[in-house]
Amino acid sequence: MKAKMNLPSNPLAVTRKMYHASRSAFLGGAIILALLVMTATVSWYSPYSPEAMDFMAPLSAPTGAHLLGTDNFGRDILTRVLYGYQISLAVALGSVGFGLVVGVSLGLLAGYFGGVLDNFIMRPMDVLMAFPAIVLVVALTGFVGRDVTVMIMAVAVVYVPIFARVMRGSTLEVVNELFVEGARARGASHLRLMLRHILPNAIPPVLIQASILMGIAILLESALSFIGLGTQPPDPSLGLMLSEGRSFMQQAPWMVLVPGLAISLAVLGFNLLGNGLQELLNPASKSR
Amino acid sequence: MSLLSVRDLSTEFKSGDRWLEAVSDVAFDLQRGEILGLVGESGCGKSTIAYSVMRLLAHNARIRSGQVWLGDVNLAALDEQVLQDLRGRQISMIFQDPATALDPLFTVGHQVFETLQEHLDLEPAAARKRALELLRQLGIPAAEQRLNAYPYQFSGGMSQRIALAIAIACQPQVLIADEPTTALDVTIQAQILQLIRRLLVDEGGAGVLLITHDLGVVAQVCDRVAVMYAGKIVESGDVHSIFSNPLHPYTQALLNSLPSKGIARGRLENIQGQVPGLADRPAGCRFHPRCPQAKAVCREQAPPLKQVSARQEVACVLYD
Repeated sequence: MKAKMNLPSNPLAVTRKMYHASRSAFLGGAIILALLVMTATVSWYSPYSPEAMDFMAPLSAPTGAHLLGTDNFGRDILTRVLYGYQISLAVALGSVGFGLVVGVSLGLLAGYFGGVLDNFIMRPMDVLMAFPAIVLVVALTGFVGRDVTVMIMAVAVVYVPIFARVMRGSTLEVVNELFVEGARARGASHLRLMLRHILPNAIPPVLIQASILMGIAILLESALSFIGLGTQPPDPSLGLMLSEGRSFMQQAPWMVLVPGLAISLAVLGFNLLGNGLQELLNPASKSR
Repeated sequence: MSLLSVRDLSTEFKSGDRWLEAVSDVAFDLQRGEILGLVGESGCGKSTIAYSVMRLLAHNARIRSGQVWLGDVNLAALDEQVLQDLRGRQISMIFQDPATALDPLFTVGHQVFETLQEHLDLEPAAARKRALELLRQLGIPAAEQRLNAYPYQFSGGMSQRIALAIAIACQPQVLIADEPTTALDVTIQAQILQLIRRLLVDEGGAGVLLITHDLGVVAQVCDRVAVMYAGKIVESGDVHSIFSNPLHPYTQALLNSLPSKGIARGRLENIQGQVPGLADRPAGCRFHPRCPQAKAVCREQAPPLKQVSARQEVACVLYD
């Protein structure tokens, strides 16, 4: 049976409704959506290639031709930032996606069944958690190689225990709710209880966490590229651009300012979204 | 044959590395078309019996021995998969706190509907119709719109009606009601009890095990009553006999402690002492430290439940 929701049909009204439901989520969502669309389609509209060098205009300040200036090789910074976002967002979505699926499953099982299984799952998670994230990622990329997939997996490994913990805690809370007992009393199976009743009720804190971890993944990717373990030149990456721009900070501050602000914008977007989700995922706000 | 027959049920809880018995050798029968009240103070094991029968015990509890016969099926030894199918279809349960007994993320209609589909294999349209019919039977105004409402939009009494609708959706033979009206105010309480009586017992021929600590509720709706003290049934019989002629000193004390309309002034009677915890239940008759009529023999001997008249059983040496 479908719950009838009184959604207005006019798209403007829908947008207004979403804005009122949570400004924070709306703003964050809008930033993320804009970034995703802009970076996904950058090759269609950008007049420059990210690696194309313009030797006539190295270190050019923002002009009509280069909206956000050029770097020391005369490459268009706006274009490189947009391409750089592709890698950042790929790492953010990939690592959080993987961490979410694995972490949530483990946390749900541990919290629901408890006892021996709980220990069996959570003690290795504790061990993993005890490693400082950046060291773990550095070690992994150092061993396996410098590649986007490796970066995604490295960050995901850091994220799995975080998601597992949050999900387990949230599951423990929900599993003792009377409605779970009620569902059991009317004949629900373990699988049904876990997927239909516990998962949707326990997932909100995990989603909020996911949104914030996306921002952190972008920071991690930038940091790795900054210290030379992530994206390799000449590929564009926000962290790498920061690192390269450092030497020209005096003559061309836009070389560090633009990628720096770009990182902040994406992180801000995810954090706003995370905050807003917190308000939105409260069932009592559904009817508004 | 009895509808539900509990035999020598003992349930224990783990505390540290010890197992403590919460329910000891409890036996009772529930007949078709009757409401059996199970009364006693908090911590006497009433709810533990309910959860044992449903096999919904927490991780730290287990049935140590005994059988729970639903017809010719022993629920206590039944495979979990088979039991899942029986729960909600042949034996259901409602709980004390109706507000939290419903999943907050689904509409109430969905929850009634889900139970119907799970067990009865109905077409969606038929299930919807039946859900609507159930809500109407339970006296929910504007049932059609209410189907699409979320649990937080319901008052306690309305939530308990919904919970009851879910519990009786598949016309179970047995309903276990664990303090179903404790959280409700008195008028709503009476309505809910009447609904249980009318829909389930009189029309459906089912049996209801009503767990309560409220003797007023027992007097109002039960046919028979079993009085529990510290994990054991100390007296059972039909409501009229127990209320007019209580035999066990505990039952007598319990009835004496009720405030009565006639006496305007004077202190309420109470029972000296308190219910012993699971770990320090006394040997012999468990009520003897608080019993005004205790004898030396009560300290050593735990009297079994004995038939003393056609309609009453009691576990006390006074009636040997």
